[in-house]
Amino acid sequence: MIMSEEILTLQHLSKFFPDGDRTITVLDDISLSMKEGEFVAIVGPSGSGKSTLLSIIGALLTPTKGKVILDGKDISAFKPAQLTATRASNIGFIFQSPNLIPYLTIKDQLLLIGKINNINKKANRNKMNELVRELGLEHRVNNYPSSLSGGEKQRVAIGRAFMNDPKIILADEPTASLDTERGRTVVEKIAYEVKTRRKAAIMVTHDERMLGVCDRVLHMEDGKLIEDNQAEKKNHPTPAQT
Amino acid sequence: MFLALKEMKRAKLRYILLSLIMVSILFLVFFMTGLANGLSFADSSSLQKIKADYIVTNEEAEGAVINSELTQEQFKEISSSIEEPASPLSLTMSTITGKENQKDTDMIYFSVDPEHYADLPIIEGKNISEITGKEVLVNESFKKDGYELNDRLIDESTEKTMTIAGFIENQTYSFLPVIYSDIDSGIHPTKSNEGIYNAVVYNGAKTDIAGFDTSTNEEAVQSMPGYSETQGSFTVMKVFMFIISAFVSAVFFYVMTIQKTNQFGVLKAMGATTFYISKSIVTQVLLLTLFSLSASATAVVGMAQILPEGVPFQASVSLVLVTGAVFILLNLAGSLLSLYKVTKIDPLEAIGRSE
Repeated sequence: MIMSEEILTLQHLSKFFPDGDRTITVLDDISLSMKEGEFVAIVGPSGSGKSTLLSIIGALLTPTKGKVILDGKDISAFKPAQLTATRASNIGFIFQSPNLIPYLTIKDQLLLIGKINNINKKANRNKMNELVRELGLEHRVNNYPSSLSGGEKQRVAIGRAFMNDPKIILADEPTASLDTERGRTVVEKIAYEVKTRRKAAIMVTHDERMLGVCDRVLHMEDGKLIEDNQAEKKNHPTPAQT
Repeated sequence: MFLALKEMKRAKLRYILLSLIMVSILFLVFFMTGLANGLSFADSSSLQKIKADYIVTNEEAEGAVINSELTQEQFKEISSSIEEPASPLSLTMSTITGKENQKDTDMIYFSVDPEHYADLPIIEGKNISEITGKEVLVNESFKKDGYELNDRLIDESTEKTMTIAGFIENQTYSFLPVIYSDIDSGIHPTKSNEGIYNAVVYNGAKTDIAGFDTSTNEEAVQSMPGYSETQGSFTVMKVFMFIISAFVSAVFFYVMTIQKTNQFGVLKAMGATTFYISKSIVTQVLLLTLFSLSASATAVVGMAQILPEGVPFQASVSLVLVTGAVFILLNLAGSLLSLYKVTKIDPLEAIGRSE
């Protein structure tokens, strides 16, 4: 087996928030490393720091201590403009709700990402067509989000996250508003894209049913990250493996 | 551009309604400016067009030609102080007896010394330097009333007869048509024996003469009784119209921006810069403003065509351009409010929230 490249490394990551006279430790000395093609799930009770961790990896927040090495660069001390540029080129977000732009057709939702990144028009269009096909949205390209079902919308959001060819995909409870079947399809689509495109992906979820699709499951509690070996032993076949 | 246009295409009604408000306000601004200009013109065009660099009046008049009185001796005193040849000027209101079956015409004489007064823009006939004796130059409006060259006019009060020697271009004073006459011809009704002239006009360098006021045409216009008051009221109205329109558009875009906070947060999370989002808002403001400007300018031009003759309305290209430029600037200034809001949007809000 060829050693795959490390995409993300977290080194002793901590985040404190001031709360009146006290400081709250939201993230407590977290270390993690992820290789390309790896799909990691983070589960844990609300308030455990999952969202904060996702925001720091997603270049939305900077940590108080520690390093975030994304694609060989330490982004933990980046200035806001550098963070924005990092998000634009290296990170793909999938949010809890699809958060599509209401006045753009599905085609334009995806093309917009290329425009933000100043990607060549033709390359942008090809990429869009490719993703639309893979996500089974071909018949929807000229529709507006208002006429799509929840599952379709979330698939558009997945496509959007992959449009900038990011190193890492961050999904924040992507199945929260979907039923089991549709939720599963969405997560499988994410897994499929991550495997075929050799990306890394982190999914924050409450939804235990989706964990089988992931390669690793991490538990988060009180700002600490614990690897869940149980899930790994279960060894569900992932779509890529089947 | 991309976001701005797509959004306007999708939310047509919203943007059409806003443009309608802007078009109406702008139409009013253009119309009022045109009317103010027209009124100012009808009130003062002859004074503005006096063929002289300076107008000398007595001190008590405070620059208002119509209130000034100068005697023969004072005229001589002034003429001798000025190196260049000077002409007396006398403004006298009177009435011309109408031809058969026609109404009388109220008018005003501008009586000057033809030998020392520069030529006027004329439409037809002789110019001021060529008239002799009882010959006069009359405003073009007489032509519309059916008068022709060499027609005789009779002054109702002096019952003197004069001959139309030429027509002059657009000369009105205090909304009355102007007739230029030789001051020595005695056609115009004479005033008191003392003050027979209103002012002295001359071309050349400005000379201050003790006991008299020397002013330019423009200053003389501003000093006309009631002139600055009328124009001032119009200016206040115009300024308020501008403020209202800028306010309407600023508030509209601000509210829209607040509505789209979540959307902009998501865009920022996906790596869109504040500049990228701001560009889209500014594009929308510019497009709407330009559209409203052209629509209302067209409407005003159309309106000017169908206005009855008597309405003093004067709109010029420069007026439309200047008004348009000010309007665009004000609207852009108003959009700063929205841009400020955009800079405050935190992409972090996109994480961990559902719609």
